[in-house]
Amino acid sequence: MLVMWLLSLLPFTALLFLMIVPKWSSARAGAASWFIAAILAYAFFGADMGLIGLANCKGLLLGLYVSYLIWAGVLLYNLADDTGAIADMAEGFKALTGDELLQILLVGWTFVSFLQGIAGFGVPVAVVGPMLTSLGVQPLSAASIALLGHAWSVTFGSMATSFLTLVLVTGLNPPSLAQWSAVLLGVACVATGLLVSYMYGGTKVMVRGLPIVVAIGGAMSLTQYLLAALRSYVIASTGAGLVGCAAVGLLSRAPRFRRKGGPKVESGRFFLAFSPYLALMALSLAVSAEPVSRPLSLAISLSLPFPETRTTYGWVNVAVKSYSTISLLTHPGTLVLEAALIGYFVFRGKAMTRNGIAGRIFRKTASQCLSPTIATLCMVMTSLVMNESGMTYMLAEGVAEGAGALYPIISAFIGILGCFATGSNSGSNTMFGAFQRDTARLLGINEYVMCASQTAGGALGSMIAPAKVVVGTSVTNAAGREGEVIHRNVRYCLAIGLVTSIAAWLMALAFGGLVNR
Amino acid sequence: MALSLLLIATGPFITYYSIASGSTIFIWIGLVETAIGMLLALLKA
Repeated sequence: MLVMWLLSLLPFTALLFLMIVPKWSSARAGAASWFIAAILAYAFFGADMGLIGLANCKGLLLGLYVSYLIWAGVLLYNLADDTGAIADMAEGFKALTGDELLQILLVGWTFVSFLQGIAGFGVPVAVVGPMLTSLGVQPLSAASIALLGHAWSVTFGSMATSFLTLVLVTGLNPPSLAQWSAVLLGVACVATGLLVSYMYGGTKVMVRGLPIVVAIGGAMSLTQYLLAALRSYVIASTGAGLVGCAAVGLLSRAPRFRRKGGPKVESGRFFLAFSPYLALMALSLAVSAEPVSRPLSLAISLSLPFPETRTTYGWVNVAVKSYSTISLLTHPGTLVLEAALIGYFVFRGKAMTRNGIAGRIFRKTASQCLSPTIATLCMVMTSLVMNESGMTYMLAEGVAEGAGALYPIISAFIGILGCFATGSNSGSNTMFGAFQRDTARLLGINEYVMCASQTAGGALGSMIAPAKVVVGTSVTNAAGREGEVIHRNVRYCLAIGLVTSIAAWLMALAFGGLVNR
Repeated sequence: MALSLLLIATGPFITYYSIASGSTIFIWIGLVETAIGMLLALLKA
């Protein structure tokens, strides 16, 4: 039994080792992990070639769902970047207030979270890192703040890729899971705001900023929760970030924070820069309405039926009539593409586009997305081979026996570990989502709270994930000092992880006791 | 990289339709194609 448990742990440990020690890319390590999982499934877990092939196909369907979103999100960001809309947003924020802490919170906490909502995949860190250095923050601190400030918004960021991945992998009810996740991420939101203040100016500045952080953090957390409750997952982080930016904007009008002199903000151009993102919010809200979503989701949908499969050890995967249905007209990726199209025409109408923009942004998007797509497919397929051969369940069973009643405390750290290994919240959820669900079920703990804790941990892991840290250091002239940034951020990550875990444990105890749902 | 992605993204579908049609040889072709795609990712990514 112990040998089998250790074998089922091998794909995860191999992935971790290959990414951390020889520093392989997530695509390369993911491919290696897939080979290990497939060989183990065949040799030790009684899976035949048909089972492995069908598991690959299920993984591919899930991976394509996520990849479509990645490509559309990066395309929209590249459009905004190429037209100067991102630069206009940055200039506007810098000219908004004369208070340095408020500037840091605006750029390194609220704006970076807004960017995470609309772009993700390392883009927020790449954009905000240089902005923070331009505000006078030291390069290492700029990289650390950008990584820390955006972490809470990762789960519902990037068009909710990570959240939707968790839903697909666990099969849990999306509205319930979204609300539990939003509560835990709300706790993380306030904590990251406080730590951004601390990182910028130490304890004294953090204490001075406490009321501001609590007020703005409360507004962002509440917005994210409400949008999640309204099933507008795709815009939950975007909306929260936008509310945070607006709250800072309102505060900046107060005499204490108002800028005296300096450049004026051209408000028309500033708001024009947001046009594709406002269009995306409008489209997302429209599609979330039942009378609109139902006919659209039925119009063009892609899915495949799968037969029952079983291993020679008796692990059964039940037949499904339609697996991972992709409704093309309501898929978040389609909404993002529509928003990009609207944005393109708005920017073209205002003469903000340059010749050859389409070719330029498509080429850039393709080169940026190729490796993340391979990494996503490799890791999702690994995860599915492990799930369908019973390896994930065996892992969960072992951890459940070992951790017992203490499991809720470690659940968020499993999410952090997954993100550290795979470089993304989505990767962490893919790897450990089903594992957390199965462990919670075995222990009789609320599976929704544990999966919410998983994704909250996965989001927090973004601040120490090597793949993202490299982005932060390379854009702030701190290349090669990734170890210092990770060392600096790891204590904040673990501290917020502990707070989140305790909150999850209390939630599991308070709502329905330690029982399911 | 593009070839790797192409193989990884098409191999599983070949396996799927082979299982649906009962053709054993194509199950292997799909699996081998997926494995070659993964191998390319392992070597080049």
